[in-house]
Amino acid sequence: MNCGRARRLLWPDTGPREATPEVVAAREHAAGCDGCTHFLADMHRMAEEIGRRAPRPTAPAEVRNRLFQAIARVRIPSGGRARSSRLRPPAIAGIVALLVVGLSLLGYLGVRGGSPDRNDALGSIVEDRLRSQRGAGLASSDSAQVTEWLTERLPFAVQIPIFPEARLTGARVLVDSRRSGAVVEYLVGERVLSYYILPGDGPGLQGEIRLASTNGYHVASWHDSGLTHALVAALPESKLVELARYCIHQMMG
Amino acid sequence: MTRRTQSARAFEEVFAEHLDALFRTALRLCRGNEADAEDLLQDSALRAYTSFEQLRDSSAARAWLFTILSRTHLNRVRSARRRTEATSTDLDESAFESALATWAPLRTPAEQVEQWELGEQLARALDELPDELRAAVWLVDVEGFTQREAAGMNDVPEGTIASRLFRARRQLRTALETPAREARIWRKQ
Repeated sequence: MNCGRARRLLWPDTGPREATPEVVAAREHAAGCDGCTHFLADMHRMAEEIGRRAPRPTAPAEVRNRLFQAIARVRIPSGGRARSSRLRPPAIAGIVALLVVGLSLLGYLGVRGGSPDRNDALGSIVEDRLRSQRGAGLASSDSAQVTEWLTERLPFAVQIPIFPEARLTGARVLVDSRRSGAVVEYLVGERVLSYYILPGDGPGLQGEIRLASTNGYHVASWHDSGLTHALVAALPESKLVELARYCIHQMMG
Repeated sequence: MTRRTQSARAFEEVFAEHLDALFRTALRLCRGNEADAEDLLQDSALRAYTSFEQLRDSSAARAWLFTILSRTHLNRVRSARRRTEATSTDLDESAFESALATWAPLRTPAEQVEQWELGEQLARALDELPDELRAAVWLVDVEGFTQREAAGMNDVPEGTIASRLFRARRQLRTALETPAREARIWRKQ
């Protein structure tokens, strides 16, 4: 019996062990070996000291509040078919990137009586970004669940369009200090398609689809009944227009 | 009160009871970064909430919550590791025995550990440990879980936890040895 084997067999913290001949031999070895005796004492002492001296901070009140708010947000009355979870940071980053593109192109904060204020717009975007990092979205492929989730959180009704080639993945509420909007997310192949619904009339005639693009993203926007709608994706413009028409058609239906 | 509401309240009570322990564990798993710890804890809380009905025995709630926290962290570490192509190096049994044989006891271990200052030095030394070792030593030595429980939480054999514990304690001792010696010299001056 060498020291390594004896120490392995007598390794502390594993609770009672069966007194097999090998364990008995290890105990006999350790009893006559200063190194092994010290080793076992050292292990016990290390464990005790680490346990005694490790810092034990308590959860700050604001952390507690945010955690319980997050739990409260996922209490969704549904049949349990769809999976609910907080959107992952990459998804949030993608939404924010698209939001920056979409809002700047749509002049979101310049609509309805307010004068366009770029600093105000950026402030709102930053505010939304900060909120989104701690806030919860809904990851779900169930359009009824997404509709219900958004309806609980928005002052206007939202209809979730169903696109033949797009898979619904979830939704999130956009919040700035004055109003709330929604982003519904889909996957078209491997590309994210974001459908924004924001209160206020955008530029152009009602129902007219307007196109814009920047940084590889295309935006197809239109307004109807006091809401601005926008589809944002790195898809060909013709595809986006086709999806926008599909969406308008479903709204009218 | 609906069954769903009752279940939500029951979860919140269980979660609140263990929140401080979960928070400090998340904090240590995230090397003291409070924002990361909160993010990990929120992720874990939502996972736990959505699978709360799977918890049959309320007396197992603590281990159940820690298992979810540990595995959520583990998934993140594995995911990050895949991106950086780093690898983990657990000891096999013979390497573990060899390492055990080379452990040299301190001449005055009591004096040594007395020098560890108020946990902050220990916290820093813990944060410098590799993820797997830090998780093992925290769960067993600080939170008091058995090696078997920690093995289940980390989805590894019990022997692997034993080996990680040994390596963690060895590294902690090495990390704390120098400042302790310096403190003794300073005190004598």
